[in-house]
Amino acid sequence: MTNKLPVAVQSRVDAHLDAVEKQLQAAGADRATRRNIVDDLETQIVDMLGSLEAPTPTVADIDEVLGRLDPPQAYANESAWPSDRVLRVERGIVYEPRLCRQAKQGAWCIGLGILAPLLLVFGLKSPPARHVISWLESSLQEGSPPPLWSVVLVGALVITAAVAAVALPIAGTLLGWIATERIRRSAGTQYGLGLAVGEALLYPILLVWFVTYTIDRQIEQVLYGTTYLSGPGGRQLIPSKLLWLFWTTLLSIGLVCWLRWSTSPKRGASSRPKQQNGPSSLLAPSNQ
Amino acid sequence: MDKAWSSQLKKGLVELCVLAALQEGEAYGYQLLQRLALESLLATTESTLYPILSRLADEKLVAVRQAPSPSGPPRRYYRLTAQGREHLRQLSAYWGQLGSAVNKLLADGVPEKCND
Repeated sequence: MTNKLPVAVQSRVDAHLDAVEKQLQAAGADRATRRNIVDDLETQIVDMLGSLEAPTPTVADIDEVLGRLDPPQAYANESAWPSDRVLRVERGIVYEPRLCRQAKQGAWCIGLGILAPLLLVFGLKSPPARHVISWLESSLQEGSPPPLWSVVLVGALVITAAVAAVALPIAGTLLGWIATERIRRSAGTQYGLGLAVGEALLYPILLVWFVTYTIDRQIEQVLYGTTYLSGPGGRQLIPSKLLWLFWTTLLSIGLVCWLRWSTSPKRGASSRPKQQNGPSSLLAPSNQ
Repeated sequence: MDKAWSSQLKKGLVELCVLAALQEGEAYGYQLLQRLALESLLATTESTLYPILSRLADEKLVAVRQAPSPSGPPRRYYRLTAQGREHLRQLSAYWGQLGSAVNKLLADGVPEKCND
């Protein structure tokens, strides 16, 4: 880093580089590419400051230098990044689509988010946990107190699993949404859209089902004085249950179709175009 | 308006110009910008050049060497690889053909048979 610069000047340089890196990240550039570009840019800024021949660059100097540079937004220029990718695809060079990293991380979060409650349930049924629970239920009065390690273990298990059961689904859902956007903007260099859509919608759909199911039970209670689960006639199917199933299924299918449609890559972006006679970089598509 | 069409026209040529500028010898990013700016029509900006350099490095058309700088952070020097030279030769040949074809079109108009 430019450790010889005054702090105020350095902070302006860093702010500019950070803004450029954010734009590059938003445009889908990978970490190594971002790092390379920012390093080149930092070298340029320091060189430009050096050419001012001021013994110590001032804030006015750095402002003047930064004013001569492209704004950070120029690095996210739609006409620059996607066309670069398209050119790679056209030339058949280094075109290796990879699974979107966020989709992969989201899958882990969703998977662990499902495992966490199961771990909690099975963990609480283990003999040491039962001992601790029964001791706690008796207000610490009855039976022999459980060993300290089992209390700590059960406490850690409950807290970890409870936090994971709440946090991981939220994280998985957010990562799913981020992944769909990244894949859409990657012009075919990243795949995993189906996985990302699944992550983005799994828990929202479960939430919709849960809410509508709860409302439905209340309606049944009011209308029929009983519910599907607690009705005296056994497992009779109450008509409103069919309606609940119909509407929630329809809503879920609609959500999946909408997200799949709205996030699908532009047609042709990920397909390999016809081979051209000459190097296509000389005829870059102007509308990219 | 003028700027828009000229930059569109130049856009596809930047890679050729960058590779050609590296024929002189290795250079770091800012040096390359200055080399290109010596011919005002070929001047480009850092937001165009650095992503292209990064891509060329990815594609092994240029090699990168990092060296300490007297004034600040280490500089990344780019130089043509054998693959890059071959690519430049192809681009250059194609550019020659394309230029000839366009010049011929501008001078002579559309060939007769296309007008039939």
